[in-house]
Amino acid sequence: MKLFKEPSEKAEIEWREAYEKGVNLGPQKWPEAVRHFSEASRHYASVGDSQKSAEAYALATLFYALTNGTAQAWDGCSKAMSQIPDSQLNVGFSASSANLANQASVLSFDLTATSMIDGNSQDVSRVSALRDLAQKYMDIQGSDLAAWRLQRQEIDPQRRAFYLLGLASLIEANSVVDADPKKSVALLSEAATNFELAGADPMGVSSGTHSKMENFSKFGQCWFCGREMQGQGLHYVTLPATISQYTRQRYGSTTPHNMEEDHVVACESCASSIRNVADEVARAYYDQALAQIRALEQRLNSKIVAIEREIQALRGRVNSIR
Amino acid sequence: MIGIQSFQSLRCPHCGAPLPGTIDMEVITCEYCGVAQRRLDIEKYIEQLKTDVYGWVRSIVPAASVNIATVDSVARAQIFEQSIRGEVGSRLGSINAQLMKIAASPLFVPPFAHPFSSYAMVGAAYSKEMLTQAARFQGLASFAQSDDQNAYIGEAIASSESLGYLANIMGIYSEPSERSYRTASKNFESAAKTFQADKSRSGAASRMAGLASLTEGTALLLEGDLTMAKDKMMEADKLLSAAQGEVIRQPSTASWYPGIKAEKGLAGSMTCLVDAVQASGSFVPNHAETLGRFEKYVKGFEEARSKASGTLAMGSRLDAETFKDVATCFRDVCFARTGNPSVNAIGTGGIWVACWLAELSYSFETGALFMKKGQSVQERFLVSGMFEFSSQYIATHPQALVTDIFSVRSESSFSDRFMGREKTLTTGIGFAALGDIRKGSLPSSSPVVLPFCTRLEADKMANIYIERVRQRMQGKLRVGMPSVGQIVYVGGSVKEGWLSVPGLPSSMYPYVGDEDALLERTV
Repeated sequence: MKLFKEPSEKAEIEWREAYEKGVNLGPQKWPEAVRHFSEASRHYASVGDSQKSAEAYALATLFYALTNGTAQAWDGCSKAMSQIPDSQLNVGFSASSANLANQASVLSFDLTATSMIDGNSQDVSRVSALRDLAQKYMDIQGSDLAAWRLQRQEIDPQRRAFYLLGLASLIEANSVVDADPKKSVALLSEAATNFELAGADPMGVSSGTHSKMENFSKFGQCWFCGREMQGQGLHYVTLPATISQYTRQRYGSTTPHNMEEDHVVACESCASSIRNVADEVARAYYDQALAQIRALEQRLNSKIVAIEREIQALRGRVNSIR
Repeated sequence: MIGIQSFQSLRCPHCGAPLPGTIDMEVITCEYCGVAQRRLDIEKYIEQLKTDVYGWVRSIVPAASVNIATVDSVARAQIFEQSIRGEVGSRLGSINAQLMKIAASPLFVPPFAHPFSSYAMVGAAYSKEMLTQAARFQGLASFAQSDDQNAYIGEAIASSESLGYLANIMGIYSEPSERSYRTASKNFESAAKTFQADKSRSGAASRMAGLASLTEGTALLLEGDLTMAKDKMMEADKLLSAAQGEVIRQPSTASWYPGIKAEKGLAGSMTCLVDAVQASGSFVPNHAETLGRFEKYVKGFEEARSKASGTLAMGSRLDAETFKDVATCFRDVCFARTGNPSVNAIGTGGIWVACWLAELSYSFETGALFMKKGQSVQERFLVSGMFEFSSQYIATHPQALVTDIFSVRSESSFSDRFMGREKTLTTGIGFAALGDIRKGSLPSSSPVVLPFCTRLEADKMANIYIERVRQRMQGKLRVGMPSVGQIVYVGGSVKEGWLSVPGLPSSMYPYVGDEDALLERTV
């Protein structure tokens, strides 16, 4: 009778238990599957069965990524899956290891490329990554999306690709608007159409894109310097002003517009210059007012000291009378 | 005005496309929309168009500069920036957006199929509107002086013109009578030429050229010129591959990628169809006969999908992927009937019915206390390829539309269940009977029923069935994700609507419908 099991027997037991105590019992038991597959991989390696060891390791990384969900975990899974020759793996159902490797790579890439992005991102280094990722999603369209099936998620790779293309255009538009609002508007229009094709808007950037496009495509003529500017809120602003009927009738119908109700158009250079001068005037008034307050404070302080002295003297006299 | 000079040539009053001006005939047929027009009406339309373009240009540029010959180039460039760029830009934005939306879907609709549901349809009048808009932009082209201005107006002309041609194509596809693929090809050819002038969209030019070849190839196939048709399909495939590589690098057309990918698939499907027609030459008298059978199959498929659309939510139209499946199945059966082992087949009999083979890996919980464990089992079952025609049973009796492997339970004692020694919930008979399916041929004399559902639809059906089993077993079945892989042609007989499957008990036979109705569906 054998007292200790052979490593090959241990490997087979771990492999079987990975399914019986992990995979087959559903997602809450997948951490168990990771542990058993990892052990199986170690035992298979110790008996020299490198193929089975790599397969067990790939399955361990898959169920680890499914429970952990980080970019690094999916990247690890993709690499481990790529190490084994394309075969059908039992992951609760039959799935191709090559497909899983590719999909894990897409998921990892997605988590990295879309992290820390919002509607105002200007990081152009993300643009090509997002476009590459979009292509990856377009390429997996039509294949068995096992990685998403395991996560009980429905995904339309094509729509996701459109969304990523929209994000890429939006970031590019944000980065060029300062130098070239014309190009920015064209890119925003592309982004808006891609978001429309995507349907869903998980990051909530679509409506902001529309309002940016509307603002950046507007032209205004500066009331002060007469220069024409594109991009409301960025290259020109409107400043409150008292506009007489006469001024409105005489100058209010220019194209592009130079006034809006009780506001006049000011290019950002004029507006910032006016703001700077206004700030300086305000600061001078502030300094002047502060000096006057300090002088008043001094005067009041000396009076208070005199009154306090008088009170002290009166208190002494009252005490002496008592 | 220089711009107006380009409208000395004739244009079609119906779609706005250019007409051959040299033809001295009373009635001229437009090569782009196929509508015949009286020369008198065409000339009247050209006068109207000139007035329209002249009026539009006059409304944009300062009155004194309408006669552009008298305006120097610096002033023209200034007029372009001050008056033209904004006006063109506001229209170009919506034209480009429309173009992006239309071109994100495949722009080829194969013969006999309805336009796909993803196909963005625009009204027939849109073509005239866009080609007229292109004429208006052309009227402003002489104001552009710098490279940037020329590129800008060039983009506007290319976008509006190609959108006009695409609208014409959509009109052709939506025709209920026979579609003229040759006319569609002419439109694609012109759209390709238009895009060639715009360097930032070279991928778009390749795509349009590819589609011109694909539609031309389809016209040749319908005429029976199979050799030329195949050459054209191969040319289309090459051009579309080039387009696919180019558009993804050109941001303004990156969203075209999935449309092109689908078109590449459709080019492959059309090649399958050419191969099928070639192969069937040995058992049908002519190409029209084979195409007639294929038409019947496509229409049947659309009918089946429309019946099941409420339950499976797959829509009632075909799509590029489905058409690929349809064409591939048709070709494989044509090959199999010439004696080639090109299909999976089991059994023998008077009729061959397509079913989808599903691999099932299910697990169930067995044992109690510390002996509790999850047991996994491999099984196989068939999903009837006709199940969508019996859509009333999909939700109510899903087990009738598959080989119901859970209808016969394996026997296990109480102690087996307590100790965790239960090995299976099914008998394994499905696994054994369907385990040895091999490639084979089909007899050319027996009727064959092709599958009327896709792999994805069969997959949904299999999942509905497993979900019903799970409910019936009150949670004992833990994981069971069927995976539908291949089509199997089951040779046998149909008794009262049930298809006999070799090796399985009659309680597992799937329902395929009335035999007469089934024979109607054979190809």
